[in-house]
Amino acid sequence: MTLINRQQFMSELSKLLTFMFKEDRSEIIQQYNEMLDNAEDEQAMLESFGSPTRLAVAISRSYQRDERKLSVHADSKDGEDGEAVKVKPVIPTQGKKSSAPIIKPNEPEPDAYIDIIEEIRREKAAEEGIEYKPIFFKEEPESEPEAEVPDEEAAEDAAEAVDEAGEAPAEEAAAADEEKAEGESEAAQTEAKADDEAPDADTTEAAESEAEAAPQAEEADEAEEAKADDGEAEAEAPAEAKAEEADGEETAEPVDETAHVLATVFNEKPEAEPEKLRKTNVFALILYIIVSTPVELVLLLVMLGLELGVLGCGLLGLRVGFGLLGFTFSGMSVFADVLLCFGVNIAVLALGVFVTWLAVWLIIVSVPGLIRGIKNLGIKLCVKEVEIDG
Amino acid sequence: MAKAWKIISAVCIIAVLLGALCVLVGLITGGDTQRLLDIFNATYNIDSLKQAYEQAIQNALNIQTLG
Repeated sequence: MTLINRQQFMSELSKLLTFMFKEDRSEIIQQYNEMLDNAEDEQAMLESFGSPTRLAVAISRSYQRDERKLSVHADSKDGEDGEAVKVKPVIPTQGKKSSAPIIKPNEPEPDAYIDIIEEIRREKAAEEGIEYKPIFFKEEPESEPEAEVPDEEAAEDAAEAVDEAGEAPAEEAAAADEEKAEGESEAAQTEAKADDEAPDADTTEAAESEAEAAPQAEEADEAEEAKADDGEAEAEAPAEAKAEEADGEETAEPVDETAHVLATVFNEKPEAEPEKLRKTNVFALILYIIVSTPVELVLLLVMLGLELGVLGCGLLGLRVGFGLLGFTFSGMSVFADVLLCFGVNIAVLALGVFVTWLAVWLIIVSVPGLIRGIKNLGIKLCVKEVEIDG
Repeated sequence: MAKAWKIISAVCIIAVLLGALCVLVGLITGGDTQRLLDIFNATYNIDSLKQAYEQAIQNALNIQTLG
């Protein structure tokens, strides 16, 4: 891997984490910066992270936006303003290669770091007296029996790495291991949701692939071994392969490829659509105009005639109603008869108003509708859309 | 347009209901429809107008048959 500037790495990672909430993104960037500050060999640490693309993919797999959304919404309702949200940084693993000096980021599994950092967040929340809410959810322990063993080893190594990095003490690793089972059981529920979004497969198999694919996203070299363990993991290999390609071409077009990878992760549909070209049959168009114009005029006249007739009826009703109104209050002496006549009068006026409005509405709607219909028919008959092959 | 339809429909329905209520109350309190028609005919000479229209139609038909 070519030497990469720390600043470039962090800026690239920040761009790729736009799917996260602002608070979470800033928190995780800060924590990664702290890890780099505490590392003795910054370059080795950066190399252990892999590419920003791979790291972003790993973070996206474990980041549950929906849960965070609910959490943030609940916090805002409770009036907890301006509270910094603690985020667990996920360090992608390169597989079980030779351990890096002092800090061994290659070996630990993301889940181990998640446990450790979860413990850190819990302690900080306890110190500050705020409610602790996890944001990362892990896979089920049952779905990855093989991964548990490396996870345990990775947890121990992760504990050492964090100690040497000056972060969580080794005691937190033990506590994190104890809570690992709880977190994994919670992750089972969220995995069910993630499975629905998975492009392939059964939920159980997808859960297994998700369980093993989280470390594999960072372990590009270990991808084949993981596939042997679970065939479903191959479903996500294209996304990882693209992440690998993005490493080599990272300097060239990182954002485009990572956007595609992240889109694959979130099962977003691609926006590209084939271009279409309209071709008009001129002869058919001329013929259509010649035939349709008199037909349209006749239809328009008939329609207008009917509508004007309805309008006349409505206006007549109004005229009769107002005339009756004069008769009602001047022509009779018995109050009961006046009331009777007034009731009929009101009903006639209401009908007159309704029919008049109906006629007006018909005129407003039907004339443009007829013209539009004839135009669309002409387009349908005389114009064809041809797709342009890229 | 939908809003206009809603307003006009509501007004018309209320007016018809009010008119029906007035008719009902009028009938209950002793109103007579025959008396009403007699007053109406006397005021607007409906009978003479009716006879005039019938005569005109009959003349038109006679002219047509003769022609």
